[in-house]
Amino acid sequence: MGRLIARRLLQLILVVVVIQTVLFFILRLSGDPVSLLAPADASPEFVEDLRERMGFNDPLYVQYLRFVQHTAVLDFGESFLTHRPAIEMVFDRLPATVELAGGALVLIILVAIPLGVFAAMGHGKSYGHFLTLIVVIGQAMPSFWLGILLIMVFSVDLRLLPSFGRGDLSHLILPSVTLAAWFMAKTTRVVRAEMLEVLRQDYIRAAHAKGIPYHLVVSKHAFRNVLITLTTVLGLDVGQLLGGAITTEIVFAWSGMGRQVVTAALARDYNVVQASVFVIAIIVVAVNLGTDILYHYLDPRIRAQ
Amino acid sequence: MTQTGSSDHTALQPLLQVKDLRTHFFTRDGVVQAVDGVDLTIQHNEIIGLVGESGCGKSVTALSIMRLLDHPGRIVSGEVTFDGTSILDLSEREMVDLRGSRISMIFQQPQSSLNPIFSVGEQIAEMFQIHQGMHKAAALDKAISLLCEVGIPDASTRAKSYPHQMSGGQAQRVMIAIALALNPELLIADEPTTALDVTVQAQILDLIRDLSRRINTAVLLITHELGVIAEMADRVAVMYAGRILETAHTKDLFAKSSHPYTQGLINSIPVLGKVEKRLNVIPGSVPNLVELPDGCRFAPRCQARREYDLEICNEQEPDLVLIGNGHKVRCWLHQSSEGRQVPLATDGGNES
Amino acid sequence: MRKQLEMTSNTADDLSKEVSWIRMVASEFVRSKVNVVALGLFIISVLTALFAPTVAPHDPLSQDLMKRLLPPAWIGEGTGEHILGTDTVGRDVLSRVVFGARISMGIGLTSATIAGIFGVLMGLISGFFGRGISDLIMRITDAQLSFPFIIVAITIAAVVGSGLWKLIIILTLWGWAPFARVARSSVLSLKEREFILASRALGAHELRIMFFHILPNILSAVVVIWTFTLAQMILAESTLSFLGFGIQPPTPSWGEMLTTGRQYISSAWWLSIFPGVSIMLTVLAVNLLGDGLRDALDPNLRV
Repeated sequence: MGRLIARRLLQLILVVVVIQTVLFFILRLSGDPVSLLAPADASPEFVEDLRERMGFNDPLYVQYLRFVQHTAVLDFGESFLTHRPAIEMVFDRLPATVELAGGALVLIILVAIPLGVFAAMGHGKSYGHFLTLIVVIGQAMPSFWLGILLIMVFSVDLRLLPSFGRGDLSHLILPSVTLAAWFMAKTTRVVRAEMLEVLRQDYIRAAHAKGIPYHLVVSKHAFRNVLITLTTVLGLDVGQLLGGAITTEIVFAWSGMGRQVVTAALARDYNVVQASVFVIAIIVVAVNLGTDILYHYLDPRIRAQ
Repeated sequence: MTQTGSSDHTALQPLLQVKDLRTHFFTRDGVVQAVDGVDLTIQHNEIIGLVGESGCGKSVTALSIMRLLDHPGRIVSGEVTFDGTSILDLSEREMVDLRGSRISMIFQQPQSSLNPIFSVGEQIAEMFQIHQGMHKAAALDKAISLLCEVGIPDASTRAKSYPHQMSGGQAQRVMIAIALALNPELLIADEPTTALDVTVQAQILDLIRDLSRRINTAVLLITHELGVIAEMADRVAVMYAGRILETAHTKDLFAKSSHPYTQGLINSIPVLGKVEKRLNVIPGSVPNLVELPDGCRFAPRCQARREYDLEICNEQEPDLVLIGNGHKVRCWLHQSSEGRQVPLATDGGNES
Repeated sequence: MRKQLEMTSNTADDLSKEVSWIRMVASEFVRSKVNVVALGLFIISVLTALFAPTVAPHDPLSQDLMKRLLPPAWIGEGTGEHILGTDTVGRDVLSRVVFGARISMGIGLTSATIAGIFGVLMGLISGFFGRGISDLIMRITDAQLSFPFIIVAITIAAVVGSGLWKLIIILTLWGWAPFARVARSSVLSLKEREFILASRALGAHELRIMFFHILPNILSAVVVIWTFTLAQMILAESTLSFLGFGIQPPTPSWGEMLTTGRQYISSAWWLSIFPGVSIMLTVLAVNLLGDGLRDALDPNLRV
């Protein structure tokens, strides 16, 4: 198992390297940001001097090596806008995003798993069809639009919940529902499909033949098998959840790293973008690795290898 | 252990009686009449073989008895009486109690019939936990001794193994341990050796026979191999296209098989040492179970019908009639003398 | 009917075999009413996009500050002239929604198709050639499947600027990975099958093998993935436009309309509702279409 995890870790690090490298070259694609940094009325000499000082005159590969070197010690340079270290700005915003994504993840687990099992049980029945309808609608709604709708109903009309900002739990409800909705629909679908698939297996028929009560066949024999697949699916979703947080944070003026990365990208504040991407990549890698370990723990077929 | 077998009225009452069982599958393309009027009697402690080509309804018969049919299958009519109680009238809860404890079942694919994420010990122990409310530790102990009994060496270590770590033969031994854990009165073995290596097939059959004899369990052995039947069964029922065509004591069946289909099956067994130009197979294939022929279901493939040029075979279905000591057959050749359409006996009556 | 099919497949050439196969899939597909409704919605979306200038009652760009923020026709000051109301500068919402279909469908269809071609090509390359290239391509798809591509997308958009074709390229990069995976695994499994080995033994060129043997085998999967990718592209385009990285105003796109609508949540709900409903219905139709196609083509496809 140790060897397998080491191999997986190596693969995941490779993923981070690929992302960072691709991003580096994309960001340098359009030349350098010096023209943006210098005052509009700066003399060409001043701009050239600035370029030289910031190392943008070096060959691209030198810049890349320097970038790799700095990345290794978490140095992504300063924000061109705020002149604070980029990584610090990202870390400042990280808790808000983690809170949002965490809230969404809890919702996904608490709502989608029972709903998926329920939908599988209702296969071919009218409530099963109804749940399927909810799921396909949920998967077709852009989350930012759902956010707008929720604000319209719960903040503007009913005045029940706050529509922006971070604070107590009531602030978290609408944003996390917004972020979770698409994933809840998807997870429900996955659980349903997987459950139906497992229920078709020989060992389920055999479990019935053993005289195990129906609810135990479903909750123990079938569900634990579903859970194994689900772990992998949810692990992969965490990354996408962080991506989805971007629009959610904008709709709800949630001061997380997603909103920051959009502001930074629009302002071509590349260091902040690069630092954000790095942090997200590390989170994704860590979660994937955790999922792998959990998967090994849950599935004896792999554990034994 | 509770041996509920009611040996007192063994003579009076069969253990299981299936009467005119019809199980149909309501598919998009029509109603598949998988089991269509099956009669079957199983006595206490006997091993009865149910034989037929694949797709003839053997497994569906077994699943109907267990009431484990999947959608869109449904028992349409008939009676299944187990030890005096009508199984089809039981509530699902009562049926759950019955399964595993009084009637149990093993399947063709032992490895996929075991849940991949539980150890085999846990899966055996579950029987005691669920049916007898035993605690896990005690149940695991019993599981280990059962593993010994079914011939798995080093049982206490092997109990911790997972299904994927076992060979097919070992997995089937585990399935047998599960099925016989609570000394059921009836074991349904659905093609228990078909998926196994030839070398372990005999061992598994021996195990089933020995254990069932020891704990007085009757066995309904479903197979498509007459060789297995010859070795194991006291009595045989031959099934074709959802119906029983012939039933007899095993030695009678091999000595004086009466239905052309049975004869065909017996002739198609390759005999060791006898070199034949080609394998004797019955020409044609099992009819489409959605649109069954009007007359005898075997008529389209029947050599005898062609030889005797019997019209009636295509028009009307014969009844299952008694022709000897516990020997019944469903064929016009035995039902009418001199081509008359009047059956010799209208009803098979009770065997004895 | 069945007899007829057998006859054709036995006697006639490949073409009629194909025709009868398509006929079978089609009859399987229309068996479900949901599929038919989805197909209907999809066709309506495509037609709306194609004939936007005819369908739209007004020029989507023409402003009329005297008539700004008119509600839909059935409410208060609403007029029949602007059935779905007007926006902040008095442009007709219905016309903008109709022209928005052009952007959504146009960009969606184009980028899903290019992503399909590019992805399948990458998959074929990765399946056929050495481990190095193969591994690199697969690591990239790994990264894409776990990493939120939207961040890469907005970064690229910020760097290269926005524009129709730039947006399409970004979306292509967003959607190619699943195609590559399917193509690659199909190549790997088919590679060792007899008929491929046989044609190689007969001296067939690698490229010939690719196109004549492998492509037909992955067609079903590719069609289904293409449909789901289309839905994803429509959502992605609206997201990028909503964030300000996609289609730039004043060109009407559903995402961009929602950016404005968001600022008028409490006063002009119609600015948000109609473009949102349009996105939802289109994506819904395409997703259902994908489900239906998958079930009709091959229920065992797990895509």
